[in-house]
Amino acid sequence: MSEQILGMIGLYGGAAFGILGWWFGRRMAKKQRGLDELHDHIWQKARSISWYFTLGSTYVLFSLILFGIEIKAGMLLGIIMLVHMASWGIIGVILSINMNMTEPLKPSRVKFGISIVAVSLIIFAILSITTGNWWFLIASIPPSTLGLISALTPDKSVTD
Amino acid sequence: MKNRIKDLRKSKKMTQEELAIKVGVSRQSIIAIESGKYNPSLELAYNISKAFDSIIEDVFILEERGEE
Repeated sequence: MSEQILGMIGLYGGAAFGILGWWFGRRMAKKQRGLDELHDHIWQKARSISWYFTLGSTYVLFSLILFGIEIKAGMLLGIIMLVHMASWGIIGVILSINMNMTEPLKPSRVKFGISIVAVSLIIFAILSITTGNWWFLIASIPPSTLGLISALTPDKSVTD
Repeated sequence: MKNRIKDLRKSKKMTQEELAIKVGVSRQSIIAIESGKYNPSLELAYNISKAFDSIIEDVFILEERGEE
């Protein structure tokens, strides 16, 4: 019962805070004319790319079930939702930073960085599921941080 | 697609923020368009050209092979 209450708090509280954050963010951006066509372009592109990550995670989860690992529906949906939302947000931030930088990001470095984040998340998520120890997910933070730093380092060799 | 926004802006002594206010977009959009990272819509390209009292062809230059 207490698990159910915590779940409800997480589900509806998370959604409420998320919507509030989104609404305030849009309000702040509107004041600086931030809700323009570039904003739409960035976030539509981020959402479309995030579907590839969602597809990849669905495939990995299907494989885990195929190999006999039992995963609860709630956990499964939670992972898919997390992958979708996190990849949407991270890609949106990367695209926004790239558009705002005078020095361009190196595409190969961005791909390498995002791959490190995706691979470490998948590996540690599998470890967490198979061992039942969710602390393994925390171990994915250092490689993911390194991946993000690598992706967001501009290409200084390019000059105008 | 290349553009001459930076040159035109400097000749008119206009900052990125001033141009952004004039065409109703964020400064980030002007930075992205100026550096060639983002190709604006026809409507925005028209508004930017209008801000410099020019026509689109004078501000934006479509390369021979088009957009890559």
